[in-house]
Amino acid sequence: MASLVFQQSRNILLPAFRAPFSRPLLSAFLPLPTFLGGSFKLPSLASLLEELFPRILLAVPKKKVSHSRKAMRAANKGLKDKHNLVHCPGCGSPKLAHHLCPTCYTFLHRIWKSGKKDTHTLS
Amino acid sequence: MTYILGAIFLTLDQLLTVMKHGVAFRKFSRSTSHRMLMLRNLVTSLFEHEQIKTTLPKARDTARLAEKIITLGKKGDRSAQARASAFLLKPEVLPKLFGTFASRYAERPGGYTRIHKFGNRPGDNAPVAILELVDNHKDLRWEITARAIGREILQDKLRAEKPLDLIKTGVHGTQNIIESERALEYGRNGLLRPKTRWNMQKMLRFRNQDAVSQLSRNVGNYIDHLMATPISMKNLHDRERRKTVTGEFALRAGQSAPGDPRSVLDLSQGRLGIQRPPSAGPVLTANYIFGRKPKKT
Repeated sequence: MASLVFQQSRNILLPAFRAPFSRPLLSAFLPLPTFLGGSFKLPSLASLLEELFPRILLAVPKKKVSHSRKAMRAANKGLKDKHNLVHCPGCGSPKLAHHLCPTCYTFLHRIWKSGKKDTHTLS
Repeated sequence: MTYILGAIFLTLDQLLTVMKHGVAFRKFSRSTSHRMLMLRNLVTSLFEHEQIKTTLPKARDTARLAEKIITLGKKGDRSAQARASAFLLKPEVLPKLFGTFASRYAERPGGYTRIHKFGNRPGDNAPVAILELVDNHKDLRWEITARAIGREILQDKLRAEKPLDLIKTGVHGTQNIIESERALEYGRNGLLRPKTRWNMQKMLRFRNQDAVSQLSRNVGNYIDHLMATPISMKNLHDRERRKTVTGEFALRAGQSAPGDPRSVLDLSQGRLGIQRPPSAGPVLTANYIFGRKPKKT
């Protein structure tokens, strides 16, 4: 019994001399009470490395993307023209279809603010 | 151990084809009490000012509630008064509701509000709308229809007469034109554009007898305003003592003067768009009236 315990403890204290590199270094089984879930396996070095540096993050661009290629990729990102422009039937200035004419509204709003009753009297 | 998420890219068209199945009402990112108070505030402000500017979804919800409160105002009995005074947040709005609005909308079966879309707000690009009570003293559709009628009558007159003669004699008979257009059936051709005629008929439907004379006065005023613009521009130009009347000043990019048949997209693109010649008939610009006429090729 005592020799078994000593052997186990030797494993834990001097893992580098006992275990080759391929084997996980910290594979110690710590006995836990059953209500805490039984045995708990500590994470191995390889799985730790996989968590911190996943393989996808080791991908890297080989060369700086050229100005030409960058510009080609941005070809579809330009501003799109508005085609829903019409003449305001009141003042003739351009306006969005189905929207109020801002020119007409500004004109009328200024008159209302000034307090005049008739909106188009020539003073 | 590691999870690679597949990126899902949606184009703008795909995002805009979202459906509304099973969604009962708008929440506005507010709790129920906050939302209800916000809408009550908006309705109270609408009744107070009769024309408010807010975001489009808020305007749509406010319009729905405001019309229901106006229905209460039309009923006028004690229970309606109690319910309206519990809803509205300013007591000074109540006599307006049961007096002014009840008489104004007595004949009208619903549809007491109107929403005009008004572009996007600069700060957050929110679509903005102007919500107004129909037939109020600042009715926007009334004003813009009057302007449209004025411009179309002027364009019609310009086909027959020279601009300077028209400015000297003036445009008369607007009331007769309005009355004859009002009597036209839907689908028949007349002087006005079909849309303008339809708007005019809608505006005059539930108003009283002197609405036609009021409209003709507005139309006449606007025609005078249009005819005075090139004259005032010429005077300004003379005051600055330039030698020749060059260019079409006082017109913005894409704006057309009365008589010009070209479309907005052609005009606003200028030299980069398709060069269409202006109409053979007269155009009401200072350049046409006072400047050198273009040579006919």
